[in-house]
Amino acid sequence: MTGYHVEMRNVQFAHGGDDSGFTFDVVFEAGKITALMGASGGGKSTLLNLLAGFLQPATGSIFVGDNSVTRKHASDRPVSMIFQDHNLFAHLTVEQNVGLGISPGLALRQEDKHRIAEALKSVGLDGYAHRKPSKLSGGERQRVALARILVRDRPILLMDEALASLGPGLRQSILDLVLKLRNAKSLTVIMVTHDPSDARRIADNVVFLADKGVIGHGPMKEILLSPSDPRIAAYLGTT
Amino acid sequence: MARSDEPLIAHSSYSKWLARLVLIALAVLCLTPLVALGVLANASLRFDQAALILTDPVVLRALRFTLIQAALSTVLSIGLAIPVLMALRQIQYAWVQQTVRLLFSLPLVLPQIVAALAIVAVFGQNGWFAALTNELQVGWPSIYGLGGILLAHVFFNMPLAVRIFDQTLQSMPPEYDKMAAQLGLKGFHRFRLVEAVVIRNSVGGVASLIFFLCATSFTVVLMLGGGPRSTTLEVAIYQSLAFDFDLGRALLLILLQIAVTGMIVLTLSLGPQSELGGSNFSISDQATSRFVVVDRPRLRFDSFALLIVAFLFVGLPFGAIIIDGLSANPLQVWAKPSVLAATATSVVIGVASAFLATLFALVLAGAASTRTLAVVPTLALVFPPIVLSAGWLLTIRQFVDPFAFAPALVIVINAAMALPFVIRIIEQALKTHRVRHGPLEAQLGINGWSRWRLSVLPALKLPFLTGFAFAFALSLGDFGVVALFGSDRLQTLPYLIYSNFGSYRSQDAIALALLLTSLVFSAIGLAELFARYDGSERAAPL
Repeated sequence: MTGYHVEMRNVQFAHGGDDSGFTFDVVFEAGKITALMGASGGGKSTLLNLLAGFLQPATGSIFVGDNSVTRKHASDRPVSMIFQDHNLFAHLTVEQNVGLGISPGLALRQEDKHRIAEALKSVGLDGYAHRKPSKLSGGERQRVALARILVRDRPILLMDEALASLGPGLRQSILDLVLKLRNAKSLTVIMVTHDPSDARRIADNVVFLADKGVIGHGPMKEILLSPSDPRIAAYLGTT
Repeated sequence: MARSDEPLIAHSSYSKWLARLVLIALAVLCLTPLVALGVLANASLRFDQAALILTDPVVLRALRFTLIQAALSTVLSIGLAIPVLMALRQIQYAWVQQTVRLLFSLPLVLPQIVAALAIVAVFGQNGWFAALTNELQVGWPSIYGLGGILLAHVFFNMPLAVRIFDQTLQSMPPEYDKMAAQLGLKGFHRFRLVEAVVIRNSVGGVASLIFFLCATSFTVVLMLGGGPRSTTLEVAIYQSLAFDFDLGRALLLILLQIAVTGMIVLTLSLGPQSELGGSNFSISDQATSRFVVVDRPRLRFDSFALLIVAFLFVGLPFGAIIIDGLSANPLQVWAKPSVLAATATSVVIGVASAFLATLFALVLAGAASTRTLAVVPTLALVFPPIVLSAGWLLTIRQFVDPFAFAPALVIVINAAMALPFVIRIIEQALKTHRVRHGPLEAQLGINGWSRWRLSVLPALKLPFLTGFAFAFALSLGDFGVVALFGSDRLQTLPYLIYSNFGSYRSQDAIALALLLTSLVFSAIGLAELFARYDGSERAAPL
């Protein structure tokens, strides 16, 4: 199993009220972890929302593997997304929140509950099934979100600053968990981050956004250690 | 962050004393008649008589009807609000949603006496629908009695429930929409697993609010009750003083009313607190809130029809005030000396009580602790206007001519009734202000009077204006307080409307209702307009 690559072909999108739109032309390698970096307002979240199907591009196509998903509904795309916050419905239990990844009507059979328990175990939350999200720490909530990714079993994982509200220790442990998941399932991971150390820890590649599009794309070491583009160097503060 | 029981602004002992003074004044306002009535009751009634009156079928019937109509109004309002809200959320066009939301915000500020009149104009036996069915040679039932009361209560409270639930749903994190879309939650499942659960947490609060409003509703019941069978405790108090002048019965009814409302308040305050609305919903991500999820539930024909019916139900009474009012020779009616005098009286009373309410709210919201502030609305709930006015009327007539003091009492009681609303607006604004500017003020050492002058007052002039306008509108439309104090010497617009309605001059009544409505909405509209064209901190929507 090698996973699926994600390709954006001349995808254009403008937010209402903006004069000029974004143009994205980029391929995310199959089974690799790509860190998506760039300044605020550079389009990182917009790119992820386009991939997830929360936004519709004006023109262009999005491919997962060889299939176009451009016109597919968010729930029909082979994609899961984790946000910085509110990944769980506050009024549902941990088990129900994970179970939504199996059945959107929460019709859970006994074997589904076993799968949920297994998933919770593998993110280190054994025995948390019947708690409410309000009783969990920020890091534990993100682990529950990862457990749902596990049972949902989609080949693409998008992370929209999913670690931004966690401390350094927790970030590392969740990053390691993501790495473990990727290795086990050949996930293609695209993660938005502000922190180069996140990228250094697990990313294979870096895609850098600026000036309404992609300005840098390559192996992590190349982009982060010896950036050729002065805009990237300025962002990293390495000039 | 500061603890929740800390005062919002002042720490100086001077302003704390001011706040205590206001609280004592409120307590005196509410408790004096109670004590006086107790003494009076002791003097004028023997215990066996009191027991007799308590088994009085009139009193018992009033008590039973009060509770039954309030329960029915609550169930109907909420039962209709939920499907209407779901239909509203399915509409694809933002302007339709905004129009409905705007229309549904109007009943909140419409004077009860005008609403009752408008309900009669639309649903009454000489109303719009009756005119239609007469063409078809079909009869139209009378709305006086339980039916009319329920119509009016649903007219007021269904939109209120829709708006509160709507705000609850809008306070959901935007990620919920994205998650629901990604996980494929659609239609009924989505409602069951997301919206219904989120709404469920506010149903209890909304239901108790509506039950209260209906259990203490006076003007609507007085105008639409139409007989002793449909009389609530409040109306029975009024009737026993205004018509029968049966002091003993009035006293007992007042005590019974206080006992009933007090008991409900107590029950509710012991109830469980909602687990949502706290820390889980507090963070809203500015960056993601720009994203609108493309898919909404498809609008089905039945929800579309429901929405139209609800829109007409709330909209038609407003149409009746405007159309029937305009066709009742309004200019001629408005130019009558009695109308001009009543308008002037209403405006003076409104300005005075709005001024008092805003001042009191400012003193309290600034210096009292949040816990103390919560007492004020409770007082207003336990002592509804008719209880206060009847209590004070009975008390002061022992010493002076009550009608000489009528204007002052009307002003003060109206101010007290508006106080909880004004406090809410100002407290919210002060909270926001403290979060935004508190650290800066502390660092620069701006405090005391200069803090008010330089920081609080300039930033909060709009919330003050909104609070003032709301108190003014409330007092302008009041009939509950003026019902007992009104006389040939003290006539407000609502009082004049009621006497016209009572003597079957419904043309004049509706023309006056148009005048009153225009005044009320001008006041609110002006405040809104100022708010819209000014960049400083907004008042919280009601």
